[in-house]
Amino acid sequence: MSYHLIAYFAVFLPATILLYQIVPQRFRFIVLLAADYVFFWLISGKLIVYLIGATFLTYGIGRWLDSPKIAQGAAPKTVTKRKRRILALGIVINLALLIVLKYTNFICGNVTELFRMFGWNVDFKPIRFMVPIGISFYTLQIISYITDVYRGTQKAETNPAKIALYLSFFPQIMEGPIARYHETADDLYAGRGIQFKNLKFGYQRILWGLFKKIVIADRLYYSVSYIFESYAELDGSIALFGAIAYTGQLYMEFSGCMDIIIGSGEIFGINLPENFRQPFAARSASEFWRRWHITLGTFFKDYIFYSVSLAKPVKKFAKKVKEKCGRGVSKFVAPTAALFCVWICNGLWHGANWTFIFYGVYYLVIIFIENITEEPMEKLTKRLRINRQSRVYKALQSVKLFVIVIIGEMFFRSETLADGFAMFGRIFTDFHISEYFRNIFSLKLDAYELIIAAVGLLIVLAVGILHEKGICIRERISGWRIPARWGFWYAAIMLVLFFGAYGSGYTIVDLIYAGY
Amino acid sequence: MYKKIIHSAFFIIGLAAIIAVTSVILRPKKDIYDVMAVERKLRDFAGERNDSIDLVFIGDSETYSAYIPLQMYEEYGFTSYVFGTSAQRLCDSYALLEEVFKTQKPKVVVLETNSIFRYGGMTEEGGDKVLNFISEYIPAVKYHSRLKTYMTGSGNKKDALLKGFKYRTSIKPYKGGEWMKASKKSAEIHQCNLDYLKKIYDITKENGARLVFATTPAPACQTYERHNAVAALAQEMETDYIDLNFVSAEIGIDWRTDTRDGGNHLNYSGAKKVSGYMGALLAEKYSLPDHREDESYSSWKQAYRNSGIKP
Amino acid sequence: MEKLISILEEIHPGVDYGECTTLIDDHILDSFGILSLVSEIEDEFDVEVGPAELVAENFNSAERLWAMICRLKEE
Repeated sequence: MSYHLIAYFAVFLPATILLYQIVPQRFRFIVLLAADYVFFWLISGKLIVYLIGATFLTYGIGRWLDSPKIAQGAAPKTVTKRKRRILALGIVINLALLIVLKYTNFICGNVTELFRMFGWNVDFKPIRFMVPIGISFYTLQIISYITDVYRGTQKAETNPAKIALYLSFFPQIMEGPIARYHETADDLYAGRGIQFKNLKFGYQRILWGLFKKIVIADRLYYSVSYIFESYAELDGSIALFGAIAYTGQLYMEFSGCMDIIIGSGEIFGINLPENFRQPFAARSASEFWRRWHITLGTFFKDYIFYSVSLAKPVKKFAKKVKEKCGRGVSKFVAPTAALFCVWICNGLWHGANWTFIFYGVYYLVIIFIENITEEPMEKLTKRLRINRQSRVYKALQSVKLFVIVIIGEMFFRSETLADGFAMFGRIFTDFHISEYFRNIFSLKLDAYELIIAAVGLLIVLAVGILHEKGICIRERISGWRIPARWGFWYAAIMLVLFFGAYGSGYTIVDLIYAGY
Repeated sequence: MYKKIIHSAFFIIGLAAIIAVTSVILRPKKDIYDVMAVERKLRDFAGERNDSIDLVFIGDSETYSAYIPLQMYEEYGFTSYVFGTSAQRLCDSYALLEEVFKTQKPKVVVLETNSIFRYGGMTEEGGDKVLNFISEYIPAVKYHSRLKTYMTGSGNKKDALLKGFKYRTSIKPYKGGEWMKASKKSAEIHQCNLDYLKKIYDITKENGARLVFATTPAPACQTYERHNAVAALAQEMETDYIDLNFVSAEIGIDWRTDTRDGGNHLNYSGAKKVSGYMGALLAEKYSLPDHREDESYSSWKQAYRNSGIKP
Repeated sequence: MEKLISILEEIHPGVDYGECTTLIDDHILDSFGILSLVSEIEDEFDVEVGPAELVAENFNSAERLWAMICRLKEE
């Protein structure tokens, strides 16, 4: 089971919708929960015990934090202390589970390597852990909920069913978006009837997502996997093309799946938070991350960035620096410490591989540079009388960002860090653009396939520009007269049906982010 | 509310009508599993002169990685063509042979045995079951990629120039040891494949050709059990079976340099050796004609010279 | 309140802080800006701003900020 399969959008989802609609309102949440667990079971089977266990734990921690007993007859300071311990317990248990399941082999592997350097020979055989689907995503949702209860911005939930719904909503479970409790829980439980408009708009958005995933991403996949596998024999220009194609594949796949996911939620009247907002319209790396995988970024901002930078030791240290070096330096202390934690976590969250850690550190360095050069750049452009709002300047910024992103994704996709560096090196040591044009149609995609992918990307670009201008395309189309409207949707459906890279001659490409 | 339901119903009826019409257009005339590959192959082949091919190689990717028709022509004088397509199934092999016999009178058909152990039916065995189910009933879904056939004209020139051989030079060594470990057991062959083998046998016989089984050296694919199964089959059908896995040392295969994916497929270096060996064997065993002095085959000489294949 | 406005001016000049109510929503204050603002507020008004306070509601306008500071002072 997976969102881009016909089994999902033509069987599982309609069946759930139908069942949901015919059941009386107060029982509808049970239908949703049952659908959630069936969906989870179809992918991870018995591992559902992890999810159910986590649900009870989350519920318990929430109630404990909010229970009047802790607050009874104690000074506010001791209450905070107690609460902090409970919160720490909740986070540690959840994180420990995630770390054991996902990172044991990586940690042990590296430790044995380290031992070997000292001459101790330790034998370590990788253990194959069965990892439940979506654990990286629902663990973050758990942390956000219990932290909010601790901070007092969220009341502890007294109904365990709501916690269960919040953690397991089937469109979200595989790859987010990472929602906050107040964003979805009430709607999930409410069991409101399905609106015709929501159903229509939801499926329209699913179709758009399928277009991105099946027509574009699953097509680019062939070139990408070929190039990343055999880059050593290919020219640097082709390696560069591979990185660009992968960036396109990843963006189309992840944002396409988000369209399917958010469209599915929309049908049930649940507004899942958006995960993408035309990321390539950004002008800096930090803005890029406010537009790309938004919910992960905001999670890190709210729960790591602010927590670390406002932590007492960090504040104290910043004060000391201020006394010694003045404000110009000290104002960077807290944010830098926090940024460091954010980006290491971001890298590690994607998986147990040095490539991901590198990816995190890469953005850490870039965003750090962006921050310290911002003021000097502003002064410099003012002195040189360069208009920062001019088209040329904006275009240059876009190009710079594009290069930054492509390099990042190149390492992100590489099997090992050494592969990443080798591939990156080829761009500078063995670059012949003529080689690229000589081989352009033999990189697993012939002219026909490449043209489809390119036209698809142009359509996405055009839609992105309209979205940037704040135009809601679905609303516009629904205002058209029937012949035009139906014609449009028929054409759109047939476009996906005919040009989708599915069926014989193509392979099913698993969701990239479901693996994280 | 009723208006909405009626509208939706009409919308869906309209969609069904469009899909039905496109289904009629896209459905091929016969049962082929991988229509795209078969049609592409036939397009590549269309350039060959009628009745000019002496021998046909058919099967999966093993064939186009191992047999170099131009080299065999240069060395032994007979003409051949590789009708291998990747992951070919026997129903596809049969469909291809049907087409081949319309314009050619080959003396020998060499069938790569790897396909015999791939499920030969029309339905997909793995993958997306729901999609497969729907594909069975809606040809527009199943054959959607045939649109490409209509939209793109010619086939793959590079493949056609090499008479079906695919030129690959990358190396990924095979590091295991001996893979043909003696066994009395016999691998199982799917009933559907046995049926298609019978059909293939019949069609070659009807057209006056001889069916020969062959297995290219492939440590990652071939096993003794599979060998036993095919050997028994060959005996039953009274055809020959050439299993090159027993003579890979004699052929001179060096697994450190002659495979491109760790013993699954040969690369160009391995193919040269296999083609030399097979060329001699086939030319002698089936007394294939020598066209090297024949003026009407000068295009083959030309093709060899242009191919860049060196002895 | 005037002190607060002057702090804001220093961090990000050129905004009408008396009127603007979308400091966060329009990304006038980014996360770095928020942090420097917090450390200034803490020094100036002698309050402690916890991570829970860092929400758009409290930071979208000078008025909201002032309300937060007053509330924290009382606590």
